[in-house]
Amino acid sequence: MTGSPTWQAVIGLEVHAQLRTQTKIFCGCAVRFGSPANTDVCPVCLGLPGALPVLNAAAVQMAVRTGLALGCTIQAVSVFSRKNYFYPDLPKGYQISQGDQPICLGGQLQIGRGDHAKSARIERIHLEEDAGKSLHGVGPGGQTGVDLNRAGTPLLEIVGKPDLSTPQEAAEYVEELRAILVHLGVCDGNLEQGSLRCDANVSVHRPGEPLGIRCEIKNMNSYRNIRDAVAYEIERQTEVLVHGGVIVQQTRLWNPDQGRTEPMRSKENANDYRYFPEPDLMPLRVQAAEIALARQALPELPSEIRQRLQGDYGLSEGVARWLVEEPQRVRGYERQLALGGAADLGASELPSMFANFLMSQVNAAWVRSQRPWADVDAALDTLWTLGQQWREGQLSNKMLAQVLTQAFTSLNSLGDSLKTAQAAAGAVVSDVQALREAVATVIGNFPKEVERYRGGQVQIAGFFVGQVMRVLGGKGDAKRIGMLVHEALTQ
Amino acid sequence: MADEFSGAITTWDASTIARAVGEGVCTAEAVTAAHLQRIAAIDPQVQAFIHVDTSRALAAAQAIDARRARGEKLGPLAGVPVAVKDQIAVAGLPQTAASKILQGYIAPYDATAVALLRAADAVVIGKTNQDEFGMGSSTENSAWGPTHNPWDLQRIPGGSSGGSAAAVAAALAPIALGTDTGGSIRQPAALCGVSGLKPTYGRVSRYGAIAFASSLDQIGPMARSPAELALVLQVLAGLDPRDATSEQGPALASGPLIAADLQGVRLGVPVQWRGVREGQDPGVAAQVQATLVQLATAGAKIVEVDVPLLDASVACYYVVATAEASANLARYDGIRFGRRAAWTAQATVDELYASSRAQGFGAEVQRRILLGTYALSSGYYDAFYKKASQVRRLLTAQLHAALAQCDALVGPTSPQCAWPLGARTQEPMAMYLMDIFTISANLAGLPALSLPVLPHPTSGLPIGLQLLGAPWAEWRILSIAKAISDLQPGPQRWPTAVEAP
Repeated sequence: MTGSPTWQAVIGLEVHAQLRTQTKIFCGCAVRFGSPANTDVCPVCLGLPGALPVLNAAAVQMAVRTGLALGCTIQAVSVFSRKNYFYPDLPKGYQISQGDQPICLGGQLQIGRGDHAKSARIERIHLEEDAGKSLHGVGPGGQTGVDLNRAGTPLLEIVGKPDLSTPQEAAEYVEELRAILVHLGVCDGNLEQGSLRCDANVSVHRPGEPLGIRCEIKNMNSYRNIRDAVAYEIERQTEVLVHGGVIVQQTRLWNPDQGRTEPMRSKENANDYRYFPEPDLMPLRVQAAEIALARQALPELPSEIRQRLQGDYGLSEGVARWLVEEPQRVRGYERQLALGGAADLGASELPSMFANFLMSQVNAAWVRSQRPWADVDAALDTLWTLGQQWREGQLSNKMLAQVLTQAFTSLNSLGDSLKTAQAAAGAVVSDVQALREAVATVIGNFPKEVERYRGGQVQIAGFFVGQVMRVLGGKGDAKRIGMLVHEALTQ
Repeated sequence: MADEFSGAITTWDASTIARAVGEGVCTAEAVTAAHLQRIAAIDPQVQAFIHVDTSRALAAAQAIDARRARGEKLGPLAGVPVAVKDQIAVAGLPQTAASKILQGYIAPYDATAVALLRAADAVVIGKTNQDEFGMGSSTENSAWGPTHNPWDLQRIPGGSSGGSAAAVAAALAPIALGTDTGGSIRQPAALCGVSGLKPTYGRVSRYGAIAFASSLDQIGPMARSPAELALVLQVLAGLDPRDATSEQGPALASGPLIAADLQGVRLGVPVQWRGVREGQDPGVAAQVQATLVQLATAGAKIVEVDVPLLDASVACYYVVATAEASANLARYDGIRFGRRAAWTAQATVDELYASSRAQGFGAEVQRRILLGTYALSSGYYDAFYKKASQVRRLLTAQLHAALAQCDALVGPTSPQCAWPLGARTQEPMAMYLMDIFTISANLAGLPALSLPVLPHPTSGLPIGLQLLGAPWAEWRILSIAKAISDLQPGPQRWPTAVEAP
């Protein structure tokens, strides 16, 4: 996938996170998604003549929290700068950002699992304002419109060192960074909506030789895009170099439909941004006491939570990772464990069973339903009971799937719908006499298979269980059927 | 004190008007109407105003009168008409900064300074002419034509706040707001024979003033005496949550301005200012010297101070100011407001920017945007912007050191009196050198004022004396200025080229 093994990729990521402040970074306008165009605006974020920026303290606090969580050094003094360029969605003709004196320096992010674990260094984190959005084709004659609701939304740019070497690592880096940001409560982490955006700097070289010329890849709004785009770019650059070509430093856009990266217009690569200190804002000072307070107030971080879940409850790495992905998910899970009242959860299989149940059965139904996770969260108590009944065989796989599908597609509260659906599904058939009859019918119907089983192909026992289940309309007690099938076949 | 309210209303100063309106001697409406009438009669010759807001000014005055009739106590500027430089936002009025590129733009909000004036019950009567975006020293760089000096209509009023200075001089308004980036309040005040104050950087909110060079700009008052400046400053001063560079600062005195006792005053004359020869009118130098002699006779100590980097101030200023301006003026691109060039479907958005800006900005503004863009460009930043910033820091330290030895630095405000219209429009460098005495106050963020002293010995034109104080020392330099005004019989009170009020 990554071309000739003699070529090695060097990848560094720049991640932009929209901060979840109530108001914009330099004015009092609301930060929210989905308002009608140009309604969350004021003279400041419109860049009207005479308007001036005033820094939002909440954005600074979020930058400090993030810096501390990533092991950065918080700078006592940092400086805002103007980044000058013309674009219709940039009202002032410059973006207020931080140049050579950002708020956080250094830091690292742990990625990978097991043997692939590695520490990727963070170069810097800085605060800046987001631009507006160009909406193409919205005018009566198909003209481009500009929506400035997003202009002035606080952004944190997290610049990683080029420490990554595979597309998988790039995706894992963003996944882990996202988990940290959402657990800190500083970003909602929505790649699709663009509240978290990622650009990748990719180059290839032969080990021992100087680093290659890099290209910057933009427009990757999912983990899959990140993996695919970086993989494509590595392949592309390797091809060029293998054939003796030269890489041109440029910005390229990932085109997910074509599955390739394409160069942006070269003009947009030739900017001299003429950074200079923003004279409308004083240098930003962060007191040591504020930093100490923020450090104390840091929540348990994703890696710590995963470790605790694995250690305390014996969860697998994958399940722990899935739970911790969303703070609400893991909080609800732990709350339910406490409510579920297993006296000694450490020694019990319940926590692990419940986590697996959520990640496999419940998650599948939830993803299809497009409901918010909050609905699941509110129904955890019912799901807990349902999970145990399923595990104990009081609910067959088919019945469970039916219950979940019905409940998730209902318009009522998930908890109530689960109960209704379960009642409608009725009880599992566990009456031994009824089951024996069903087993006998199936064995009678499939003499060849019986022969094969008796001839040593014991792995086809599952086939018989499935057939019995079919006879019973999917409502059989799977455990008992298994035992009865074995009993009948070995007679 | 019946005499206080004698004479034409337009000859009254702001404190007199506020008292008259507050005590019911006359109505705010009558005061506003008197000024509007004089504007109608005189301004066609002076052209101080770009926009006169007749109907709303009268309505505001009537509202003030109604509040008084209800028994409400009125503010310290009750019924005082105020002229506002076009650079500053007044809600509902055009705000063009005398630029074609802002043609048609109506400010949707009040600048903080304007809101404070309104809260003090002042009445905004209109917007005054200026050099485009504050860039100039003559008010000739206005897209709407030049303003004429009320002392000689063939001469410039100074700039960039030339319209405000001329309005106050010609009794079209008792007070006005200006902005000062390199002398734009003090120099036109000097050339029109009125008083003008640039406060300490941060003393008055910049919110609503179109930014020329953000780290140098200040809004300040223009009036017919230092006492009037003090009255307006008390209204304008203070921290504004909308301007991160504003500060509360040490409090100003309350109550009216009292003249300083000259016995205890030390005035510093920088040797570098004495050494200015190029472009210096000997008549101006002579009258400033005569004033210093009078002051010494009255007991003030005149001392020499050495501020070596004053010699570099013009060069330093024109790098810092143009660099900041190049970014500040980027928002005027014809996309969201103001004037947009004709657009053909084939043109790219970059071409639209270029044609809108080429047609919308005047020559001086384009020159400064180019200078500033160059100074910030990759490869030139260190040699220009960074070096100028270093010089600025050192100059500031030298000025602070000099001000530790005296109460104020003193010298002419402008090396020349008002010059004939058109005389310098082809010589930008000569024009820049006219700022030599005023720009150091902006580079160092210091308060500075200009007050009229003895008129020119041959032309009779007004001459301004500049006092430059330590940070936050506005009240000190104002009280010294009042003492100087009291000391001199004063130049002829009303300009000679227009009908006296």
